[in-house]
Amino acid sequence: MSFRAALQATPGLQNAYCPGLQALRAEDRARIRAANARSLAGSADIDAALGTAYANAARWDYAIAHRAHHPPGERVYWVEVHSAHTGDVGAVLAKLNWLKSWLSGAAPLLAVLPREFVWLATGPVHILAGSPQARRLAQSGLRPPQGQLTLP
Amino acid sequence: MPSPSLSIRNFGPLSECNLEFGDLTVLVGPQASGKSIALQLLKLIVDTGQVQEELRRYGFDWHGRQTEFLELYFGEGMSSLWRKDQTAISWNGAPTAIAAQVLRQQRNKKESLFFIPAQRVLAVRDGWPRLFRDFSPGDPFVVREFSERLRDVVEHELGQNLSLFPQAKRLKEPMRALLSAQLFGDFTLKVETSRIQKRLVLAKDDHDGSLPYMVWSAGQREFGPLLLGLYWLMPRVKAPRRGDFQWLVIEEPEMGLHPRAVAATMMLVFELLRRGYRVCLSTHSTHVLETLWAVKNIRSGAAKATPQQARELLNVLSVEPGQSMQQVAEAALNAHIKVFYFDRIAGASHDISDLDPGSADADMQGWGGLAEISARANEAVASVAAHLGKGSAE
Repeated sequence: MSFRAALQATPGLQNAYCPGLQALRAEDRARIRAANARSLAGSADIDAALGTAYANAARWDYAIAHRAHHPPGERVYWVEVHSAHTGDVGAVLAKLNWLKSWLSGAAPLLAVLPREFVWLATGPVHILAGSPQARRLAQSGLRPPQGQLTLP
Repeated sequence: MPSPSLSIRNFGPLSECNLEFGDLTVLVGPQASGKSIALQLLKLIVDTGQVQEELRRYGFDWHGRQTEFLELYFGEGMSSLWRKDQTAISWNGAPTAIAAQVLRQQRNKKESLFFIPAQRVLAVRDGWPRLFRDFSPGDPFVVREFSERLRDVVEHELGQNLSLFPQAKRLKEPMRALLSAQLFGDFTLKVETSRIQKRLVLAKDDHDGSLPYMVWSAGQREFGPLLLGLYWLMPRVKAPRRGDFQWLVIEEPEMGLHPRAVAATMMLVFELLRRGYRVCLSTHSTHVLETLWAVKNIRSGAAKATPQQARELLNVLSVEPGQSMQQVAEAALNAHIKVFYFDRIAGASHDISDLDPGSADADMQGWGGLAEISARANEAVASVAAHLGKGSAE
């Protein structure tokens, strides 16, 4: 199933699909680079779309779909835009925890798509690759924060 | 006053190398990428007359030939680094014909750069520093000279005081305590006379006998000569620096050391900054760069370091705050720090001074390869955890 079809079949996200990176705020869009714009298969503002249904939850920001060649198919980049101090690790992991739980409970069609979790830093990155905080993130499936996401 | 700068074209592995020196300059890069060659060239440019004088004093003669001089200075087989009509060097923006200059005796024989080479363990044999001439003809000048300086320290500089470390007035008490705890345990570095021969040993009050150089830990064998070299640069008199010396190069200060000992060594480097030396390091240690990353981020653009920032830096290095250590930390925080990556494949230097781990520039983000394996390990583990759904947030 495609990212778009999976979104449209997910409660609360029926109207969330946007072409390209249009679901992202302009300042967040600038943090994404795609080598080939045509490889972008759409995006959704998860935080906004689920704001009412999960008003008090630590919601994740965006989903961005990208058509990959190796292996062929769509891959979903679940992107959280957040400041990147060591003190933010707990908050971002809480959001990731919510995202995983929501995917497995409320969005099973999205959950089965190949995925990556990405933390984009709003400012300077203060978490080093070799730090215990980075290892804690990795074990949860999240790479250390980066300033920019480059899609192949 | 503009920062000193060195540009090197087509010299050994360096096709295009541009270095602008800070108060502290750090070179990183894989083996054989040209870091040591660049630093030795810096010494030759800054101290041309002194190098010539020193070689002559110990009976070396290059017969007016450039090839022989380069072999003598850089070491056997190294003259081929210099490519006729291709190698070009600039110092402070102006071309310098250093290869021709070394053939004419320079009038200025002052020495302003002290070089602690990576091969410093070779400076000590049978527990005693070797003589300048006690090396193979093909050994580099900087190794010979360092060894000779060590000999000067233990034979003359320290006089009849047989206890070399810790030694009152050589370093501030908190610095001595830090080095003692992290590098020597409760042992004292001293000179002992064994039969008729003096030797460096580690000794302890409640320990029978003393430990000769060859049974020291690898880190102690590396650090002992480094410390004695720094003693030479930090005289007991009130003057912060020795003679005309302005520059210090330390190659791989981290060799053989535990990360806590690396932190203590970095405090010693910061003490040299406090004294006004311009320090250059080469390193393969992530801990060295992590320390500098902390310095840059703690200071975070402030014009002058605050006491609170100094305490934060001391906390990073597990150093007890106190007035003297705080001054050392402030010197580090106020220093202009430059970091260059030597890319062996491109033969080029790359300014990565921002050390930004979020940078889109792979060399900057990976700190010239030093953080690469950590980053890849994180990538692999994150990828497995994300795809298999095995990761749990907490």
